[in-house]
Amino acid sequence: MKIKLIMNLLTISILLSTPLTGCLGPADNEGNDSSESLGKLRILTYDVFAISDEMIAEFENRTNYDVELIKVDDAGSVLARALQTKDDPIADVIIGIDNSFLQIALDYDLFAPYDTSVIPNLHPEASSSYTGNLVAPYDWGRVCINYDTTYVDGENVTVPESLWDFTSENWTGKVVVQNPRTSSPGRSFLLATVDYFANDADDSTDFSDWWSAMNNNGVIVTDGWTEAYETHYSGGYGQWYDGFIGDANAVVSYCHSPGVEAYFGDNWTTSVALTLDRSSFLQVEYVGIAKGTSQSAGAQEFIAEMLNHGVQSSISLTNYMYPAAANYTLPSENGYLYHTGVPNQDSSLTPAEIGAGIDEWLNQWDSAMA
Amino acid sequence: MRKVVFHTIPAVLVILLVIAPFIIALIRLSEASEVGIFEAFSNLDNRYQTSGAIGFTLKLSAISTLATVAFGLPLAWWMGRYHWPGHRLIRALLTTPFVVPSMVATIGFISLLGPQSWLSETFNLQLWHTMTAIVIAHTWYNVALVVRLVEPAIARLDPSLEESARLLPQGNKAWKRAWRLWWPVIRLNLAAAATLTFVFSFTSFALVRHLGGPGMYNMERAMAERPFTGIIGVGAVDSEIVLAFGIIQLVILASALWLLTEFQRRGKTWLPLATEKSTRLPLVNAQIPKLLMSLAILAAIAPLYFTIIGSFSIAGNFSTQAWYNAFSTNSEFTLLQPLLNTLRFATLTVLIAIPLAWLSANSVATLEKQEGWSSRYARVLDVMVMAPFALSAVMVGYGILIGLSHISNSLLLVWWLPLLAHLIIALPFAMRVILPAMRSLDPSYLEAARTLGASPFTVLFKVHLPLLRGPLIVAAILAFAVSLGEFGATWLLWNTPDWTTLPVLIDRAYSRPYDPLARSIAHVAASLLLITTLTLFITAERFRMAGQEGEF
Repeated sequence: MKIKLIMNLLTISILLSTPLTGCLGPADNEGNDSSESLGKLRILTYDVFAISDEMIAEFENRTNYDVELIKVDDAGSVLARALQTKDDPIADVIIGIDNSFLQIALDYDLFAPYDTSVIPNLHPEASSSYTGNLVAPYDWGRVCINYDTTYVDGENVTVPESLWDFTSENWTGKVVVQNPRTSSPGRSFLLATVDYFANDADDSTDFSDWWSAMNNNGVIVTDGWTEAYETHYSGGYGQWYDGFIGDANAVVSYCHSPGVEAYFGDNWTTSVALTLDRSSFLQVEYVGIAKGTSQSAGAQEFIAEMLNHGVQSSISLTNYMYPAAANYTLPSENGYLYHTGVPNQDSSLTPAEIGAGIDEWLNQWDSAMA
Repeated sequence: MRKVVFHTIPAVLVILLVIAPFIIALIRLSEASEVGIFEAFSNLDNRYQTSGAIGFTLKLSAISTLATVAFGLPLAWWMGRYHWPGHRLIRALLTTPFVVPSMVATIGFISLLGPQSWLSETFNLQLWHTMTAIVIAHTWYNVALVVRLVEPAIARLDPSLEESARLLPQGNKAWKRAWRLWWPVIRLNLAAAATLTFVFSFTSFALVRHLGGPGMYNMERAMAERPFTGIIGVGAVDSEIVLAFGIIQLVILASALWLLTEFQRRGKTWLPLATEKSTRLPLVNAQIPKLLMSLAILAAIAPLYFTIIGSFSIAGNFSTQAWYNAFSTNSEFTLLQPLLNTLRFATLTVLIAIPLAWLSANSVATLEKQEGWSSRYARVLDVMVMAPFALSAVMVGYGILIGLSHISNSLLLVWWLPLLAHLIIALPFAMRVILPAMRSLDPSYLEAARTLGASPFTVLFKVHLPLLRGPLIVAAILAFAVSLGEFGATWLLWNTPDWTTLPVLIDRAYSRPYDPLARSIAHVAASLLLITTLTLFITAERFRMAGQEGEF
């Protein structure tokens, strides 16, 4: 009798375990019956919200490719997986590498050329870093510090006129940034500081001195943007919800983040972008065809999809970034555009300069923060 | 000859599964890190996240171990000394935390100690993102070990020994008896429990990641959050750090493991034992133990209670929305697929780990009794199967990630990648349950069966399986539970939404603090894990062999 029980358990467990092989790839392929499938199109990405289930379903129906998402944690992990597998790529399309990582990707020869004729007219910002035919920009934004005006009241605490102001007592433990080794906004901001302190009036200090002063001033470092902005920043929308700490009054985010706050807050926000010259970094995110793929036609179609009307017209509300296509911009409803900060001058490092310097800068950052 | 082949199978499988990927990964890591290993060690102190990580890890583990012993010992003593009403239930409640998946404990403690939690609101205690919070969680986890390992030693000592001690000048005072009688009785079991506590606190990841918050890095966390590990060029610094920490972990964990086997070997009781019932004192005039024991039971279940309560609330209001969303197919956070994934990985882990542990245990138990090479082989095999104990989950993850991708890229996307990690981590647990049982089998049964001409299969089905049914079921449940709760390696290997298991989903949902529904869904996922684990745990209790209470 007991043997029987064990055998039953075994049968159940075998039944439970068998279907797993079939569960990679999207389950719903309905609507494709009429024509032959063109095979699997594998897309390596992170949480890029522009790539929604609806967008994928629409793309699959129109093109007859079966899209398989390989989704990793962040932009850094996209590059890492792509590099790990570059001789025999695990994906056909790579999405989410930005201009702070681009040079590495180009040095390692990750991309195959695409047909640039599918690209619409672009904003000058979107084509500012790279104009070749290996990757296409799909969105962009400026990374800079945001601060909370309920804290910066103009009397006790005034609006910082230099990044050095954040090393003062007023800001002890009240600034949250992201680790540049794991987060792409964090990396972008590190690059901005490199340029900012190389071009400020004082030649005796550089960015690593500032970071070390920030470290001594209790700067909070998180792994990613989400935790920094949504858990720590008092000007972020986390403040209305359960579990919010809000111990920081300044955060590294995007110059248009206050616009997003206002858009969802009925044209009201306490958050403002700090647009000091050279303290912002113009970040551009790219999509490209993985070199060595056998699905380059499909990959090409997916790039076109990322730049077509559907994605570009909504990307400011799905991915909260500026659209790359010149025909679209941030919406003006609810103060989105009005509350977006625009610096007079962004920091100016070319991908080549970034590629040559980044290892050393990261090491200097590491020791400044040790 | 057939016998030689038969005994070689487990060794080959274990080498392919456990040892080879790890060694390939080590080679790859040293290729990718651009400095020698000694420079790698000295660089650790000069980098964000790694400077001070070794010191912090040791401090955290040491304090956690001390706290665990300090809280666990009185509980074990009272459990062993007194006859409590519902003794088995109390023991089950006190030892439950140990089998709770780490992500569930994380959720439980965030809702207990986190911002706007009951504790922080009522007593104005700000414990979140402090080391104290992690120590409390580690203590909560491991007190179970002390109770489990020490209580039986206290309960089963023959009362006549204590009677005699009272009459002797060396034992006429309570403190003298404590030192001369009780300390020697519990010493080795307590040391084993402390060692295990140290090991588990040493490799803690989920709790440090979520309770410790930004800037708090133990070695495990500093290793895990390194995306470029193993990549030649860009990954130089990441590889250097993982290699250095991996080696330090290996040395410390292997030493701890060696200590543990020493304690257990020397701990074989030589004192006269009594049955537990005859020795326990009635519970009269024990007001302080009664009070403290009640508090301990409350503390043991509080995080679990808050885990489940949290699943019925959204932004502070009662709601069943999270449960509804979790089981509807078209919500963003549907739990159906992750739940099925979790159960499938766990089932497959059992189906593969148990036969493999069985084969290995059989070979070890058979060959260690023989002379010369056979017994040496048995010892090597035993050590190899136990080796994953000396690797942290994150290191197992890297072994698979880097080791296998070195063989072929396409392996990175095979669905059984996380399964492999679960298998490696569960195998030593299964082995530690099956091997002692196998050793204690009376060889005369087997001889009798063979004399009667029984085939190996008949022996397996008519002798081994019926006699070892209890330990097999316990081992299977343990392997299932280990796979169910595994977080570090699965998190590291996570490549596609189709692989999401419940612990990984909790991690992702909890990193969206702005979304009150995501938070409640994390609680639902944790509750599901908790309920499954508890059901298994209760089942396992029923199948423990008499005299096995002192093992995990």
